[in-house]
Amino acid sequence: MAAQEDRIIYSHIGLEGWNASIEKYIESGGYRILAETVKRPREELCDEMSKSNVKGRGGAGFPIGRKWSLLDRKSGKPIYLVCNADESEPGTCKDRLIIYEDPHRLIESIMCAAYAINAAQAFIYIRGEYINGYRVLIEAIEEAKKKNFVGKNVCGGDYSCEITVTRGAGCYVCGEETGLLSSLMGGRAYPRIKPPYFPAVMGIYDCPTIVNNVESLCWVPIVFDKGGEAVSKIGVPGDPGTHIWGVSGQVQKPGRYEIATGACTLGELLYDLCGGPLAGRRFKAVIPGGSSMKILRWDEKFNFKMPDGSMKEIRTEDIPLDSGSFMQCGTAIGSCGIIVMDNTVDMVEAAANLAQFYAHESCGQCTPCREGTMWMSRIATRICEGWGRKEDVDLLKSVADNIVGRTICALGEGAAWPIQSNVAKFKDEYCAKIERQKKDGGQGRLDNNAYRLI
Amino acid sequence: MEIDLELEKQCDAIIAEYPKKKSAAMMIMHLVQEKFGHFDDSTINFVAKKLGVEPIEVYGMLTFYPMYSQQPRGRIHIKVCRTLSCALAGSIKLGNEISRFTGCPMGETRGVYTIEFVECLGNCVKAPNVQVNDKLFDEIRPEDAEKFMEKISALDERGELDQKPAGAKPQGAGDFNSAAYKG
Repeated sequence: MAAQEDRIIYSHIGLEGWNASIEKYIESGGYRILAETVKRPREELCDEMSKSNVKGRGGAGFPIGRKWSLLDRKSGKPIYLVCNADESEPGTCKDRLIIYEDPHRLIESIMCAAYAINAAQAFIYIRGEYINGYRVLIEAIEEAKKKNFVGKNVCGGDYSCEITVTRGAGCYVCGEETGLLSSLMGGRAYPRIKPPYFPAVMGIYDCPTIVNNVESLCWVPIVFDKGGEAVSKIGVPGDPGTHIWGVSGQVQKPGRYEIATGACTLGELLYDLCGGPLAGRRFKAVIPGGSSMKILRWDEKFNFKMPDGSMKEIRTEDIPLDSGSFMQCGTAIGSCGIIVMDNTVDMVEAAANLAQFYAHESCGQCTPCREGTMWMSRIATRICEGWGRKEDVDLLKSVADNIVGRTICALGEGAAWPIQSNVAKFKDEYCAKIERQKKDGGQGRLDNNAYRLI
Repeated sequence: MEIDLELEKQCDAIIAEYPKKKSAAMMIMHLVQEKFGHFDDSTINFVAKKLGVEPIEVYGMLTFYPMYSQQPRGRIHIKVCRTLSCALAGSIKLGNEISRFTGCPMGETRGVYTIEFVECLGNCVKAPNVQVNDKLFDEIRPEDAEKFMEKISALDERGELDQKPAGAKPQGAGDFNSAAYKG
């Protein structure tokens, strides 16, 4: 089975003569689904979404339909829809292409979703670094307003909804839904504790709010058009649809690849589509879903439960590309940003690089995360700079262990998991590095010709 | 810093887009940052008054979000991504080379330059990435640092590097103008 792409969300991207204008989008059949959607009863639409069982694409993988069903519709307060375009997970850049190249797909999707949940207003929170993306969206919304797809009486019906675009300002924790809402309410992006602040019940302005990722929202019109039943049959049961894998790091052809879930394995993606490792190198480790997920050794073996129920031992490269399979292997697909590392990479440096990232991005509310991320960063950096001590390896693990489960939001876990798994799976490399440092007083790098990561 | 009527009007227009005044904070702060280059007491007070909050709240946001600044930055603001995907492609070396070539220490401002390492710029598949003002340059190999900076100087002389307002027209379909440096 050779790996091949199956473009549903990216169907327009890379087409000859394609651009972000509304004319092109309408030519390709765009906004037809929105016009049909606003004539359908809302319960039916929400049912379709639940039936499809499409999971959120932002990282947590919570089914979109279930999120919508938790919405507090009885409170009498206005309902808001927020599109989370604050894509800041390292290794992830799938939404960027949708925003830049196909903004009308996103706008149609937002309007379909807003109608289905009866939102009073929709927001797009786009990360500050995507300056031109903001411009593209603003222009696209203006175009859509002129054609009556956004604003008052959408498509001639009686539903009205505006889309407001807000820019972030370089803060990773805004990708966390409650942190995003804090920022959108005009303050520091402090995540809020659940309960009681489940956005579907107490979101922005303490009103019921749905926060969905860009790619998740793009599934909405597809589900409304094809029907939940049909979409649930794409890919494997339990994780229907396609995933856009952003492969970065040390492969021949890094890029974004949209593949139906379970249609190929990790090895097929990295060898067939990405062209394999760089010349003369071997794969060593893979972070499967954005930097927050647990790392996999390339030579690891797993006891894997096959779809027919039998058990089989598989290698990392045999893991099928769907969320359930990665769960079985003790990690998760997160936001599908694969970072590939080959045999030249010093894993301690990789860990130090990520630890610095999380230390920079911790919002500072919870002590275990604020102090722990900083501490991990200092230990890992110290080892890289030639000041490693034998006990540092266990200390690093113990600090990471003490963050997990003790924070308001998932940033704590996101910071601890990569370090925990890195230390557990490459402990020999940490010890060898510290040994080398003791011997020659240098930094003990694995490969002195490799680029420094810190 | 002088606050003119036009800025007031722009702020009012932003506030009108939100159900609550305070929500306009992010966008108004971007506007002020863009217009004055940094924040001082007078601009903090202005934003606070516009939003109907205490100045300390604006100050709190200012110190929280990395894109807002209290110090003036150089005309050419270079952000080099240092997070893992870019680092694997040599961005740490690239950043240090750029810093050496321009004579501007990392994280500081010298003359027209401000150079800093930043976290993920969100274009990991085309590492390493460098953002200069509002433009993104991708796939810049560390060996090409000098060539890249020559290109940046040339673009700057032609005025093509100037930061355009966030509300300006988009530059084509994307800002993937690596061709501009490879040119």
